[in-house]
Amino acid sequence: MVRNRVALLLVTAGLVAALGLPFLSHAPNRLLSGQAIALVSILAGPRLFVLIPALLIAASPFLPERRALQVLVAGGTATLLLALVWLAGSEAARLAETAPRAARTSLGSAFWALCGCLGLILHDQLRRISPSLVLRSVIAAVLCLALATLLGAGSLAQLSLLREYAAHRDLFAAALLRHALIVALALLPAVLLGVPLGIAAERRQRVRGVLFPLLNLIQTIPSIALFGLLIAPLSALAAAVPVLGAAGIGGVGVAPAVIALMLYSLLPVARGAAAGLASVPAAAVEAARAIGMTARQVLWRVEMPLALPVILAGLRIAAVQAIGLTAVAALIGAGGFGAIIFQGLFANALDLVLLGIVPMVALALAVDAMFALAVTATARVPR
Amino acid sequence: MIEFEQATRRYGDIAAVDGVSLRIERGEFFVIVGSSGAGKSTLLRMINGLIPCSAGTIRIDGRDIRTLNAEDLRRRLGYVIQSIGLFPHWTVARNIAAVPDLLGWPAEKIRARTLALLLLLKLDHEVYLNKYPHQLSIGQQQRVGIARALAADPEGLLMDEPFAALDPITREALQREIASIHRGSGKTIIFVTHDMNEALMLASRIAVMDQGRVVQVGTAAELLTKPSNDFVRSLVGRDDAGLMLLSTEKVADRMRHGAGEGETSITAEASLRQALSRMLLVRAERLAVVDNAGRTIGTIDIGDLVRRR
Amino acid sequence: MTMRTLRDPLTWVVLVLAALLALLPRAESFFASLFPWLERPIYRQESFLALVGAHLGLVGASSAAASLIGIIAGIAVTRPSGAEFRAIVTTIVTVGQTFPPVAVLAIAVPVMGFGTLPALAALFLYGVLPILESTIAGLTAVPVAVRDAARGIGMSDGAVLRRVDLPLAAPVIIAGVRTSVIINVGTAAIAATVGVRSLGLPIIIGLNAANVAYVLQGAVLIGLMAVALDLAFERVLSWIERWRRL
Repeated sequence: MVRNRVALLLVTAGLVAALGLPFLSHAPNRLLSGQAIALVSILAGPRLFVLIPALLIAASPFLPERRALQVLVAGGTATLLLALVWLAGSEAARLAETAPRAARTSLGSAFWALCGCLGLILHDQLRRISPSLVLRSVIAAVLCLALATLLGAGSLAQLSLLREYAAHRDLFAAALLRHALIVALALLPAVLLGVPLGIAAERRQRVRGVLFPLLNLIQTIPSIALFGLLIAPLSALAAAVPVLGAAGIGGVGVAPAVIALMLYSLLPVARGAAAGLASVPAAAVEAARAIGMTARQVLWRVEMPLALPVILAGLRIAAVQAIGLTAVAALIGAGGFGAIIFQGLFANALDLVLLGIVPMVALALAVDAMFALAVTATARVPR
Repeated sequence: MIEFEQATRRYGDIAAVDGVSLRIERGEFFVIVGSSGAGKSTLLRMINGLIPCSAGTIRIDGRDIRTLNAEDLRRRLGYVIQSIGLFPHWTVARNIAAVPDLLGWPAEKIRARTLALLLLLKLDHEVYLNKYPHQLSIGQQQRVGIARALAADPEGLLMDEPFAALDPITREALQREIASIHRGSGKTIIFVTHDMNEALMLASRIAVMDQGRVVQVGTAAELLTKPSNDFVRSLVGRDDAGLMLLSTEKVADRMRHGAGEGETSITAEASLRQALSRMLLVRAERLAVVDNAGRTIGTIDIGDLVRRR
Repeated sequence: MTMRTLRDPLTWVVLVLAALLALLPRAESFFASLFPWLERPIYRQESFLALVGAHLGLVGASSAAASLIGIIAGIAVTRPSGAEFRAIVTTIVTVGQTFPPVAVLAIAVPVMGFGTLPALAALFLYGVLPILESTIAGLTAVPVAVRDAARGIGMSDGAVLRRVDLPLAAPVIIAGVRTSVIINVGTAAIAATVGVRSLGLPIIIGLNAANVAYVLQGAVLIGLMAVALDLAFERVLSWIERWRRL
């Protein structure tokens, strides 16, 4: 009796991946393609213990929907996830002992597929246990902590992805800083400009009629085109005002990226501010005016605190969007994780590509979760 | 003391308030009554400047309100609305402290005043002080709304259909509360309602509005016995007028003090209409009158209800 | 041409785009005067018209496929039989959209090699997400009362879907297709980095060769094309609105 068809689908997909696709791939050097290593082939001795949570999870679609069982399955899934990561690292280490230095062991498609399936199974179980966002965030944080511990302990160091990281450590750190810097430099003016614009748009029809069509137009222009459009005037500006050029503001690099990103971020921020203000109960605003608050006091003491959750929701969209768009900015020399991605792309090195993508997506997910929590925390009015 | 002199408010061609001239004395419980769209709320909001006059003048204590600072004026007048409008992100305590906070009162004074008001509005401070509006029932919210309006000890209270959204039981309770607060504090209360019964029960004087104009001003008794036109007559009820007249007086006004005769009793605070109703219910022509503590203080007879004063 | 067509922004954008395509090859002296230090002020390796065609082809093919799969999947997940899967699908869509489109392209290439195929695959995969999301949103927004009434009249489930759900959800679904297409226009431009013919070529080549004129030409054309497509979708949406009111 199948109780949970979602789990069944995911378990089946996971099994197919585990049995049919390579878990790892070992190649004598970077240029040659690797030999597939199936999961079953490396399960020997004490490693067989991973089968215990695996069997539990495989049985989960048929188990009754009881809280205790769900918690057990969730725990088993998390354990298996960590175990697979550890397993990959451990096998890579084992192979590295006997292989030449240039040899590399990379994560195979089965690994990624299994991680994806297990992650979704975990998400499904957690959702059935409790809809609380805070709980899920805590568990996600614990998992990340465990992963970080594995990384820190060096158990994954022989995987090609991490060897790539070790080889490009400085580059990676620089990319991380640059990526974060660009996003921050873009979001700050977007907020300072976008929130007042959104408030004005909410209050006055004329502003609304001009602002949102304009911002929508900007949003329509593909990022690379907007970067491209900004290069010519910015380089002309840098040529005309040498001080700017010396300060690093020029046609290519961070400047056009930050300006374009700021323009893109204006729409979600302004829309969030307008929607937030519109969501404030009219009775509260009327009462505030009637008690004798000045317009400024009404805005800061009543309207902004109540509009904050929606404003933060707009900022959330803007932040995640900005992180993604910054990757494209690497093409115009802005640096960031995009530089690593494109470097890997041109060198046909998947590991380098992953080295750029994985942290960037992790950053986006973390920022997204952070804002989601902030929205929940500031929502003082259950509607 | 508030004076309207040909006060008018126009929206395009339509006059929501049309040449209203009125005088409201200090300490009155002044009720403005009329059907929807009659202009009552607009008139009320012209007093504290939320809606400016298109023409005419409004004077408070002799000074044209246009010469006064709007925010200062509003801090001197309490304001209670039908939709209550408590600040959802503030606790009950902070809501009540809103105006004193604006005026810069010291924290101790604010706290003392908050506790006093919760007591006045019959809210247990230990339970309600730190609750949020969404945790309260609508009746409790309106009590807090009234407390907030009274917090800075205003000169007057403006109330715009404050009890219209409440269930009948809560409404009755709050009507009694506000009447008692008026008696206790002597504040000027300007109260807008579409419910004639409410007006008759609470008011010292009533102004009837129709389509932006004041049609009649007078005491409840005057309106009931001498309605100036058909509109007023229809509001006060043609056949029920006599019964409604009974709601305007209390048992205490007509009772005979002394020994109590009668098997059933009624409190001195009850209206004459309630007394009549009880007499009919128990089929007695006489009721004993008790005070709030339950002690018998006199009698009321059915004849006392009808007799001219 | 009526007065309305003349004042319509879509007409203007298309006209400007057409004019640029016709005039750019002849505008050598104009660009030479703007950027006198450039040897080659006009991109001539391919005709702009051919590039526009290639770009539209990429976007069109991937978006058509993405719409088909996205809408079908969205319908499947909002039926009672598929309701269980909705949460998972929603999660995949949300997580998937935290990946920038570049990432999907960057993963597809090392796996599938350079060229048009991985680009199409990436455009398709990423394009499905907004369409799936909006299909789910549109179908769940159909008022329950309306569906109940339709069933009550005796419509079969298929008929309810065809005659009630889809027409009512159409604006939202098309808005999702619009988003997907606009994103794809950008991604197809970036695909020029992996050897795909598109309007991104002048920009990429221009960036590599420090040729600002190339970059400008490519950027203007892409921008106009994106705006034209967006306005065209808006037109389609307003037609649907009018048709629904009939």
